[in-house]
Amino acid sequence: MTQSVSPLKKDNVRRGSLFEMTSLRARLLAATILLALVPLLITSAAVTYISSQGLRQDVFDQLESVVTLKNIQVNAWLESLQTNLDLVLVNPASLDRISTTLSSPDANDIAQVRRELTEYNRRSGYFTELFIMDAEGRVIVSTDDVQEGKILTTQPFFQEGLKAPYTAPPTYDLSLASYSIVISQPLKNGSGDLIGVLAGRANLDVLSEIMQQRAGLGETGETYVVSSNFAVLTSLRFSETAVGQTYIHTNGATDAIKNRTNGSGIYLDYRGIETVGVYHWIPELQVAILAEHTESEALQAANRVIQTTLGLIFITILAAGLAAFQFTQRVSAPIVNLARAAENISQGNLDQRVDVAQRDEIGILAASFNAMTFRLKELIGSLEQRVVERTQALSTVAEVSAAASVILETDKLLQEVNDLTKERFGFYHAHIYLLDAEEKNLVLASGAGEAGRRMVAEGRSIPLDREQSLVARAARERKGVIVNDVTQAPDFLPNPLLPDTRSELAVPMIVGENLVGVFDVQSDQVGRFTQSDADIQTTLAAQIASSVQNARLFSRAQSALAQSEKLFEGSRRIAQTDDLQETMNSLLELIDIPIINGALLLTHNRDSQNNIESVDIVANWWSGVGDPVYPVGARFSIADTPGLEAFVSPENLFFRDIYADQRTQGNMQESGIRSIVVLPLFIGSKQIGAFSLLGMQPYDFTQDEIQLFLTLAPQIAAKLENRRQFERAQKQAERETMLNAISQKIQSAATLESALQVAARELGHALGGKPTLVELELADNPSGQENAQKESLA
Amino acid sequence: MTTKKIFQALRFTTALIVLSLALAACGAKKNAPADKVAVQLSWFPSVEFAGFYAALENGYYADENLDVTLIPGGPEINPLDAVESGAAQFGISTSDSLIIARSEGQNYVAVSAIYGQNPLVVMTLSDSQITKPEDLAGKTVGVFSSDLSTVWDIQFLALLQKTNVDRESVAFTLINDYHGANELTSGNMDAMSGSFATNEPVQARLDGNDVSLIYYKDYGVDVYSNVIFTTEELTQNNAELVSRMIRATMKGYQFAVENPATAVELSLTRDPALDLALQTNTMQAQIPLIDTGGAPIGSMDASVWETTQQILLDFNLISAPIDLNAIYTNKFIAP
Repeated sequence: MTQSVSPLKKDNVRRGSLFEMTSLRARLLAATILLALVPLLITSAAVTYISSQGLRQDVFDQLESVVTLKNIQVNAWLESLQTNLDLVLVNPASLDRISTTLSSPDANDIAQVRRELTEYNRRSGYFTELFIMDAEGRVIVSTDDVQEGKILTTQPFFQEGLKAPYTAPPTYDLSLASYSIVISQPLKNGSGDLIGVLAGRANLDVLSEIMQQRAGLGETGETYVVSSNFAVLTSLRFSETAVGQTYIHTNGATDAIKNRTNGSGIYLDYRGIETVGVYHWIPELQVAILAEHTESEALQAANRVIQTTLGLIFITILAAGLAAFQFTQRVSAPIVNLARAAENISQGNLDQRVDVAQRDEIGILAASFNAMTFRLKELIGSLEQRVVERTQALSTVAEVSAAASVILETDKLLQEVNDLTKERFGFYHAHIYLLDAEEKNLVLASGAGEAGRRMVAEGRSIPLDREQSLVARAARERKGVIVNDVTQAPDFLPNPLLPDTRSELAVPMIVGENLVGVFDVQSDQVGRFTQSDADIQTTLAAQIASSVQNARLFSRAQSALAQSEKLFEGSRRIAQTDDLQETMNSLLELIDIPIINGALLLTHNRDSQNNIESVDIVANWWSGVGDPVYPVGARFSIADTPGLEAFVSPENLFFRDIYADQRTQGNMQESGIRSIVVLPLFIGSKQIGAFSLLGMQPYDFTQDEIQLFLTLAPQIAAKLENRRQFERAQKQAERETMLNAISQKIQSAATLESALQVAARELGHALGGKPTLVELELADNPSGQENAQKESLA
Repeated sequence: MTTKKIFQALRFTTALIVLSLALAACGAKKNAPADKVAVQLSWFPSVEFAGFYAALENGYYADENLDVTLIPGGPEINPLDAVESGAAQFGISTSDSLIIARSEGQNYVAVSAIYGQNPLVVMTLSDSQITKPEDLAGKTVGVFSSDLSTVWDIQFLALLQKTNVDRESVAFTLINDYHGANELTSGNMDAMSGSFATNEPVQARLDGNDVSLIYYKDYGVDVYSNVIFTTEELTQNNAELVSRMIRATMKGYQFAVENPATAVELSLTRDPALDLALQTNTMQAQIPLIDTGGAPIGSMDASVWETTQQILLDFNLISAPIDLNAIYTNKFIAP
């Protein structure tokens, strides 16, 4: 169960994707734009990426070179500080004085050295303070005399300066209230003994100056120095905060200071603005130099490339979109039109037309569509027309059938059918062939109009097996046969009576299983008949066939009734009269077959072997037309009369046309007789004679007639026998009367002689005047009686 | 694999990560309840302790899983005793006090110096033309005790000694008014010794007086005036706790020097009676003491300890040198 349900469920659950559901136009549009955009976007992305990366790298490179430059400048400054410090001691006189002062400080010496240092520093201008410490770290001489006497033993610049030239990282000096850098170096006397430390203090102004010299960093670029405690040591371009009091913990500063490293990156600067930065760690000063450039400006070029590309992409998208829209519109509009038209048509609007001017496949499709719609409309129109026609035809069929059904006489019926059919359907001709009793020939039974009547009169018939006949074919195949251009049909036989026939339709007339005939209609138009016509005419034919059947049944019933009456009448007439001649007359009056012009009643005469030797005409009838019949009393010897065999046949014989009949072997030809009926008459098994009807024309005796004959024949035989018996009895009586008279005459004869003479005379007279021999036997001789008996019988 | 399936996989993975992180966080918290730490401060609440306040308020202690209590100090409170008694694990004292304590057998260890330099100054009115210790000869100088026995007086004596100023040439007088430069402007004295650069001069300048300062440290009197100390035991047995404590506190001081205004606000919440202007200027004054620019905040220098001890020896406050390597360490200071 579930197995069979699940696929249905699947179908229900399955839905089209959004893409499937959207309209053709939207899909085309999307696809076209995608087609245009995908390569565009890929290319632009690649170009943008490459160029912006390049430009970005340029920015970093520029910052790197700036930082490097600053680094070099700082180092150069530090070197010059160191050099300048060295130069303090170049003068041996000064060194001596310093040595002396350190070993035994004297106010005058100190003042002298201070003056020299001050003078020197004034000229060089590198230091804010030059000072000399003794080996314990006590400041002995300083260009700032307030500083003299200070004990800087714990200061790194002293401790390191004892060993080697040293640069102290920037530190905040509380008493000076500022950051400063101290450069120091060992101080040795002329003999090379370490006697103290020479130091120079430099403030950070120079560092600031170095940093503030712009090196093409644009409006937002700057370089600055951050101490290892994250305090900024040079002035900032975008901050008022004093040196040493602003702490900078940007990613760049943190990386440089924590990791004591050089580097670069994009990060938020001290203002919180996205910045491109490059930084160097300067180990000598324990500070970091940072060069930063606001990203928006630094990457302006790169951004401009991106912006330009984006702008171009946008414009291209617009253009592509427009083009795609146009293209899609152009492609899809006709299809949408078509679809709309199809929808309209599906709703029954066949007047819908698609206007497509294109000459491409869509144009062809639209044209085909229009053609299809036109054909469809035409088809539906003609269908309606055909339905009307068909309805009319069927009503005509009904009409014809109705008219036909009330006619019980076949001829009239068929005539009516033909005439009506021709008239109502507007045919050129209509006629009906009926299958004959033997079912071998189709006999023209009725035809419309004068031509029809003439053809019927000609007794046209078509053998059922005639190959070329349209009518025969329809009968054989039991279906309608159409020839829509008879002049083109190879087997068409032009009918002079129907010269204008161009197309012909023959339909079989069938009732149940039985073929009754063929209904044949003709038109003077080529191509007049369709299968539809065949169907209609077949319907009509079936109804005609039915009517014909009805009519036939009716007439059969009628004739059966008439037959009974005739039989009765015949029997009555046979019984009514004793006279054979009279019987003949009344019988033939009853039979009433026009072509019968003569009739004979014959008796047989048999020889001693009981073979029929001759026949006697015992009664006859003649209509008065044609040759007279043989007279009553005529005797024909079998041996002498050719063709007489037929009249002694023990079989019933019906000759339609003896001229054409094999059985007569030509014997009866030229007798003037064409059709004959011979009915042998039997009393019991004894054939006593025959009753024969003679016709002047060939005639098909109907079953009814034959039946009538066969019914009457025994009665006629009985009549004839009666008649013979009666005649024999009468003759016997006459003979006995005569014999009585002769006996009386003989008895009245006086003598024997006279008696014999009388006998001979009387007997001769009585027996036909032939010479009479009388033999007299005196004894009662039975054989003599027998002979006499025989005589009388002859 | 479809995009949808990738998203599902990602979502699942993300969920797993979030879950595991949450579990890890829960686990960490459950496994280690915050360590309770008490700090005995050396004086009343002031901006001097702003680093502690910032570490507390900004959650630096919490980040280190520390539950820190700050105990204000005062004239009657000796942080050494507080740590000794266990009332606090950390205290604030001076380098000389710690050396003396150690010489007496109390083994405290300095783990950080709040001020990297000695804040003691001799304050004079600028008009006095006294710019160096030698200028004090023949002048009247205010001191803290008549017998010059306080640590501040001793440091002043050390200053005189190092600068070869004969103490007999100086007239000592007791400072009675510690407010600004009152004693100077009143003419009671020519100079005030033992002033804190972060206190009296600031007040004096706020009062409108133009004062000059002679820094003790410029003349070899290098003493740490406020070192954070704890017991030697704690540094040895729970160095990790000390490290967390100092790391958070120094972070607090870094915050304070970088955000002086906020540091002042935090201090004022500790004691609303504090003067905003004074605290603000004190903060500005102590920034260079806290952050000297050269070394990391909190770090200490061996020479300062040597100097301190030498002073103590010179003035017979201790009889013998102690092991300076044991009394302080920079190992808890991040470089």
